[in-house]
Amino acid sequence: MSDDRDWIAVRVRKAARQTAPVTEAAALLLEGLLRDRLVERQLTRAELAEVAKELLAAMDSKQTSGSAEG
Amino acid sequence: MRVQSIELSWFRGAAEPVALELDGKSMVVYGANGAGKSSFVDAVEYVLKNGRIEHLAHEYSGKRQENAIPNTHAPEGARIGLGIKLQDGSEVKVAIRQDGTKATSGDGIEIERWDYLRTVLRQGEVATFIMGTKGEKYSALLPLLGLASLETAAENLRQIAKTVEDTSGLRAARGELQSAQQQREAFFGQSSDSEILAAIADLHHQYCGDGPATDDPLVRCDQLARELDKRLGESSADERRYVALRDVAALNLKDCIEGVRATSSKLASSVEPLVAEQLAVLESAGLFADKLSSEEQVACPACGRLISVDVFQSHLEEERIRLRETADTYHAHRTAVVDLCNTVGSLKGYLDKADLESWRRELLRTSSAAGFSCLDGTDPESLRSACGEENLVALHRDVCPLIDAASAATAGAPPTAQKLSTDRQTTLIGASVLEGIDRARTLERVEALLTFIRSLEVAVREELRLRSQSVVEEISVDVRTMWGLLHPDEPIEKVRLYIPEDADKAIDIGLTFYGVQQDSPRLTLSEGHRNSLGLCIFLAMAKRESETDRPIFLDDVVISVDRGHRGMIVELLQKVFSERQVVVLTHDRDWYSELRYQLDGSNWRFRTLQPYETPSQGIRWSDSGTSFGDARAQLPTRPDSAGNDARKIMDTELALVAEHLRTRMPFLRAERNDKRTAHEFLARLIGDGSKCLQEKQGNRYVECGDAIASLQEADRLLLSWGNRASHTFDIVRPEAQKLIDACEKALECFVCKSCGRRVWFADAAGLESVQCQCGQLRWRYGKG
Repeated sequence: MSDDRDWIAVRVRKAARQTAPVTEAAALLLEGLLRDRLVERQLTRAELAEVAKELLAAMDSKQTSGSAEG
Repeated sequence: MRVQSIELSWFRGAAEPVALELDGKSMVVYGANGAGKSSFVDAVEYVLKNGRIEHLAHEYSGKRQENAIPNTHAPEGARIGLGIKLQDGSEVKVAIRQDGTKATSGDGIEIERWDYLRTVLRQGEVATFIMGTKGEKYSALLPLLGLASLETAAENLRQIAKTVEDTSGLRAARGELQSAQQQREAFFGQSSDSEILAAIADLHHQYCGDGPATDDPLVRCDQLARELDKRLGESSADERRYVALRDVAALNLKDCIEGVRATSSKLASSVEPLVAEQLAVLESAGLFADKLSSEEQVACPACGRLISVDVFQSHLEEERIRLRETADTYHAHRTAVVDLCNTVGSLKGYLDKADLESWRRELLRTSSAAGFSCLDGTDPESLRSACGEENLVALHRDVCPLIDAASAATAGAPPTAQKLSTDRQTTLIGASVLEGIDRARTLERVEALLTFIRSLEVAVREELRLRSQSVVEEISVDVRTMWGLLHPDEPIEKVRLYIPEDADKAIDIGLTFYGVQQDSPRLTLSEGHRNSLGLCIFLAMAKRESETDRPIFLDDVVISVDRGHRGMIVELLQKVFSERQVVVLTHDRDWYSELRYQLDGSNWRFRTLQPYETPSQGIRWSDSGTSFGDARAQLPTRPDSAGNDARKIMDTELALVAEHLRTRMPFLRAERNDKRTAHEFLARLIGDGSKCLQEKQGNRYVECGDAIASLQEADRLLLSWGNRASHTFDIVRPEAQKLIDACEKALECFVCKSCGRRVWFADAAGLESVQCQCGQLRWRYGKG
């Protein structure tokens, strides 16, 4: 399980660099979720809505993950 | 963790408490059909599946299977339930009430974690895996792949992307952006963002030059709008009327009406058949699910086309695309209706202005009363929820002429009013353009987030595929090894599980049949071979599922496997599962007898159930099911019982030997015929054996003198000590020890020392004789 979480973390960082520009905050938030709740069980509808809201808010921050990586 | 015992009380076939005492060992249980063997397996399933037994699921069995689980003749107040004890002393006890509700107690949490699919294989389930769809195979294997966390992550990512799309109102925002773009093109033509910004900057300089300086274009627009409104308020009544009429004339109501009409028509053509199809899907889904596992072609529940199961997934994808297009049309329609409502709302607002009162009165004197009346009766909010063709016709017929009239009335306006109106529109639409640019940036961010989440899902799914590939290959190696043991030198080879290239969440089975590659065993394999393969797959999965020692229950799984292959199953159990606890239940007496000879007595126990007589008597063990190992275990404390067990074993086993060797026994009257003792069989076997039992020396067969001597010795000891053990109980330990050794040695006379098979394993020389597998030992009937 912990191997899976590490692998996911690496994938999140790689995807954040390679795909469309997401903010550092959104990438970190998703990485945190994937290390925790998202690998453990299927989220409920209410939890999904909360996660989506947090991600959208995180996308409003200025710095993109790509720029943070330099 | 091994099972110590399974105790049943008025559960299924059981009456008063009866226990399968495994003591942590492997066991073969023989019982005729209906003797109650499967009741013990039912108990395991009941615990593993939290009170459900799949083969009892039926409309008459009751919501909690209360009509099927308790013994039909359980007396009032009887304790119905079961208990499973593990070797570490932990235990699960379940008390079942007459209404099927249960109360679980004990500390045996470990057993509740076992996966039924990896613990129990029943006769009816042997080919279930093979007959299942690719998706069902994947689901069955998923817990073994150790990828449940990644699978959960992938599904969560998919759902998050969908929720982000819904929460952000992405579709609606795209529609609004499209409307703003149309308005921009209508007013500014092909002007670029910087040209529009420059125009606003000029106007700002012109009207607000003395005000506070700002570089923010939206603030400029706001300041401009306020200044223009101020100047408009200071202008003459004619000028104000002109500007208000320009506002009315600028409304493009006709285009809005046409936009709603166009999308309504497209939506109607998409939605109507869609509703009908969705109903058909509901009706067909049940039938479809039934057919999926047994037919190569199925009718798609959405469209009715006959398609193969293999292409069904891609067909579903096509259907999903079509539904998405319909959803896009729906959103376009909603946007068009919103535009129309906004335009009607603006029109009502403009026409209510005091500046237009004289123009309105003038118009009412002519022929436009219907237009005002229609507009007064139209509520934009109501229109938003229900906009029918009759509304569109009325708006087009009665209200559009008002806008035309306003447009005509703007001719010949004073130049100052014309400029004021144009500058005001430049400001308002410019502000809308600037907001649109901002909104587009927000949309870009949402789309970037969606791309990011979806790319992660793709990456996780790809990883799942790669890891599954490697685990599936490992399981395949085990399946091939087991298949090779069961079917040596057979032209069905290279059995493997594989992940199809064109499907997600799918696993299938391939093999080579007489040199020809086959993508499914269902295409060529007989029922027996399919069951044999199903057994291999179950055992391979059970082997992988737990490195720790968990039990496996095989309930009558060899029913369609021929005699030769049953022997191989013994070999498989010994080679691959010697370290696991295996419980084999069978109604096949020959196989039971064979297993007793071939399986290692130090690891295996053998028990026999009495034929079932009445529900009140329930499941009963037969006394004759013990092994020499069990007998020896009693030597220190109960030598008489040990000797008695040896005698009972000989009574049972020699009856089987005599039957296989077609030994002619003297006729006994009535029931006595079935109650011969070991001595009677031995007497005849010794007599016949001196001529019939032969072993190969060089190129010829010779009589087995040593074997006959062993039989004679066993007979002698049975008559003296065996009878004493049974009747006077005064046999001492050394005597009982010698009796057991002699009996065991006597039975070994019929087993080949080279190949380990019994002398009746194969027919040889036509009907004249039988022999072991290698031919070293034989029995010639004709010499008896």
